[in-house]
Amino acid sequence: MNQALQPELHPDAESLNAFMERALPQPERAQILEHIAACSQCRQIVFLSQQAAAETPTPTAAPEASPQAAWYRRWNLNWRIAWAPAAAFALIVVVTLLLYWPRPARQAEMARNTPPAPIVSPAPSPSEPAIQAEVRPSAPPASVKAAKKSDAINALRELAEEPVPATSYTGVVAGEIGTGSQSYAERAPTSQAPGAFGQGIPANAPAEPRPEPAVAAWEEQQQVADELSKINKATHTTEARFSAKGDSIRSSEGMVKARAAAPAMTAKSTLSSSFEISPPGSAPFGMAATKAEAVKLPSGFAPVSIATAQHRTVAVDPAGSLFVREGSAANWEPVVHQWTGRAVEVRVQQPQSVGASGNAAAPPAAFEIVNDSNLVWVSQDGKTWKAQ
Amino acid sequence: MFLQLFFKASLAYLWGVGMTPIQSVDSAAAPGIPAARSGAHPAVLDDLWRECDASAWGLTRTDFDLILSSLAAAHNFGLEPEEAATRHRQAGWFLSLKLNDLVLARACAAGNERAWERFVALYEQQLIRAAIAITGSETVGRDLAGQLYAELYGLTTRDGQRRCPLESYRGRGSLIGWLRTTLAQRHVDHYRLTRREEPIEEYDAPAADPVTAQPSAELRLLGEAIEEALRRQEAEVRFLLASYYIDGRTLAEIARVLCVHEATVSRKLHRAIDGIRKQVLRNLLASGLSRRAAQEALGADPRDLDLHLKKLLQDPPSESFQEKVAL
Repeated sequence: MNQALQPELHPDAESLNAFMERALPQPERAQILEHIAACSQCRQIVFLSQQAAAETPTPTAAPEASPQAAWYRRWNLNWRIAWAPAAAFALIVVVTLLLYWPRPARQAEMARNTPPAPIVSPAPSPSEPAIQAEVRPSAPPASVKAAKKSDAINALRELAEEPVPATSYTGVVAGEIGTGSQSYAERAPTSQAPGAFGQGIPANAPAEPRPEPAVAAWEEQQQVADELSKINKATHTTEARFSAKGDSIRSSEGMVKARAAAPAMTAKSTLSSSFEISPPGSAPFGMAATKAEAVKLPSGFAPVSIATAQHRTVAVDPAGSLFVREGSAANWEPVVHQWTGRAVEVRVQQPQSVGASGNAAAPPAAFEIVNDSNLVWVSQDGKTWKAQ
Repeated sequence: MFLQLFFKASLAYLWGVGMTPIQSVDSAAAPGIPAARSGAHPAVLDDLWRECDASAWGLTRTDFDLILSSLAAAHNFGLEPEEAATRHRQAGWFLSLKLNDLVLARACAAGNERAWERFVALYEQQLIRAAIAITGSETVGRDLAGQLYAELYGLTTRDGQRRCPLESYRGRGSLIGWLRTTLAQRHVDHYRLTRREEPIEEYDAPAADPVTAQPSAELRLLGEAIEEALRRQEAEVRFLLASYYIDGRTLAEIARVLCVHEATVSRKLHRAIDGIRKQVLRNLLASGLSRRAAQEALGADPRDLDLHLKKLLQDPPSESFQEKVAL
């Protein structure tokens, strides 16, 4: 036997098998490879063994004495490798959550972004039943294109459901077009926009064509109300006060001043998305739209009631404290407590001298506060109060 | 909650790298006690003992520890002899072993009947099929399997001691793979014992032709250049050349042995041939031939060369395998 073909010592079956199963460390594998490259006998053993393995498939898994032990083994090995990156990843996740988790206050703010609640209408005053009784939902005239603007109409209907005094918007329109002090509804009941502004005709009365200028004015008024509705829906923070007096409405035939002899209708959209309509007959002329966003009183509360007149704003907080500010100044001044009980509402006193024509000069506006016993105090400047 | 989790994770990681929480990083990174002297860590052995369920095969904890410690000492946990194994390294090395096969084999070697029942149930038929595949004959294959089975059962004795080949199984490969390799060994040994006059490998060295004239200088230089080029090849290349050109193995067979794809073997072979050709050309140029003369020498008829490729490729290693491995 040739020495070159038969080296003295050969690797045992254990090493050759481990070589074929790639279970050897690299240095030892290289030594085995070096040997079988030169040793034909070991090479033949390797090839025969491999041939037998190819012809007799080996069971995929070695017999396991205990499945639980195998599970533990795999789990333990895997986690031993994964502990460090897993811990680092968990740390990153927790830090990220702590830094960027939304605050509860933000959640509350987000929760308020809900569709507007139905309008809360105050109970009608005793002086209004006659007018209210005349309100009839009537079909719009064919010439009124605003009938297609259902959203605006609904918004106006909601506003119109507010009990208004005798000098309503329609009355003013009629007065402007007609003879003067008598309201349009009182003078000649006509069909109107669907349910808008309350005034209608008796159910058995024949429909009367509406004067074209009035219709045009009504359409433009609807457009204004439509914009108002959009603003309300978009921001939910806008307090829109709709004043008919300050708005010049143009008809297609010419300038027609439609002045609201009636007090303006004030609609507030608060964060809770509920409309709050100030009591009727309490708003003077010249009240500008007031933004209620981010109004925060020195007491830290948001006002529960707020009224503006003559470039002065008076607000009541939930504790009953009263604050006043000039114009659009940011500073609120606390008002010394000069009333009994707890103030719950502030409003602007309706000037008694305003005529139905609406042309009379407006007297200075006065503020009213109502306490929890429903007693009223009056002030001209919002700082000095006296019982009414 | 998070701190608790993080603390547990840190403890587990430190345990995994063989470091206790009160240990400094420097002390953990420093070389420890050589594992060959210290043996395996008791906690690691505890885990392995629970996992293997060796007591089911009649092994005691002492036997189990001795088996693993002897293996660890022999292989130094797969590290170089002077290196020290951390606890993590020890656990990883033990988990790389086929511990269930190892426990079963050692229990069979110890004569545990229950282990033998398990062994027969698992491997008897596989052993017969492997033997038939190796010998290419069912009769010879069954004989071969029967002989090995009797040998495994310990019917052979030496110096009055019962000897079982399963004691040499160390769990670095699967037990069925070890059985197949052992069968192949027995078959080759049997072949060589019965056909001493007809060895498996024989030289195809041509008989010396006394009439043949001495080769030309170019052919002599070419022969020397080829010998030098083959000697410089790596072990894997020489294994590929020997297996493919001398043993006549297919690319698929070589690929299975090397655990690579067949295409990889083909690519390596082509690359090896190209490399050898370039190396031969360089050797010829280095020996003083001009490029043109070297190119012409490469085109010489191989039959004119006095080369023994088998001898060249199968020169014994400079040192014995056992000296290298030092198991």
